[in-house]
Amino acid sequence: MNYRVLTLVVVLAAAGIAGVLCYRMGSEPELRAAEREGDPMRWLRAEFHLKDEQYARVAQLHQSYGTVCAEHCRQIQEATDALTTLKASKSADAAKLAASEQRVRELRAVCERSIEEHVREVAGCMSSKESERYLAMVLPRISSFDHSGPPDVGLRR
Amino acid sequence: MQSDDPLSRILRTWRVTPTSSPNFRTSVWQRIETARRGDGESWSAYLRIHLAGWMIATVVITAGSGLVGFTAAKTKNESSRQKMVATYVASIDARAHVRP
Repeated sequence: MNYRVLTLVVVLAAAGIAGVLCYRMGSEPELRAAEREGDPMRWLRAEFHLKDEQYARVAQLHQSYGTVCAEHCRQIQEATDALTTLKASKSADAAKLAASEQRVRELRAVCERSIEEHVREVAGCMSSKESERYLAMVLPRISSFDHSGPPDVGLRR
Repeated sequence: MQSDDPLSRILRTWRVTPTSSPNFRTSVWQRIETARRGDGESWSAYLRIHLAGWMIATVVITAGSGLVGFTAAKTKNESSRQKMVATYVASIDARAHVRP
């Protein structure tokens, strides 16, 4: 083999190894593991560098909030179903329809306030720097929630 | 000034009578061609000759590859992070679980 080609092959191999090593160095294994497992709590722990006691408190809050969340879910679902039924019926009263729509909006607003409260409580368990980062990451998603897509996570994970 | 030592005397009488080689020109070109192709020399000798060029190429290609690898990892991290934030928010947002 020509020495020029041989040298090029060696250089390219070294470059490939360097690329793989840098990819591994730049990767965040805990983040990837949490993504693979679809485990938001594992992500939360790694992302915001929670100490054991901080994590225990956050996990407890998350678990207790599951009950509140389930109740909100039930109420919103009932109101949404009632609204759908009203819309489907031909003899639907405009006032009743408006009231039903208002009820759904109110329940969603209650839900949003409750999540925000919960999120702020969780942030309180973190260091001030991490809590700022957490709120900046999570709050915008709550206020800009788009409920047109199906959920991909169970309530009690 | 002429010296009369034995060496000078021998040198004065010394005559060179080279024999002409009919293949001289051909063999010179063969050696040039061999050197150009790199045949007949070791890899280490080749590297010593072209060291500067290959060093620069190695540094540039390896650094580029490393940068690409690092950037790819950061991009993937960001994508995973966004996905996990969405998963986390969905896990605490009752609105995400309501059928439309």
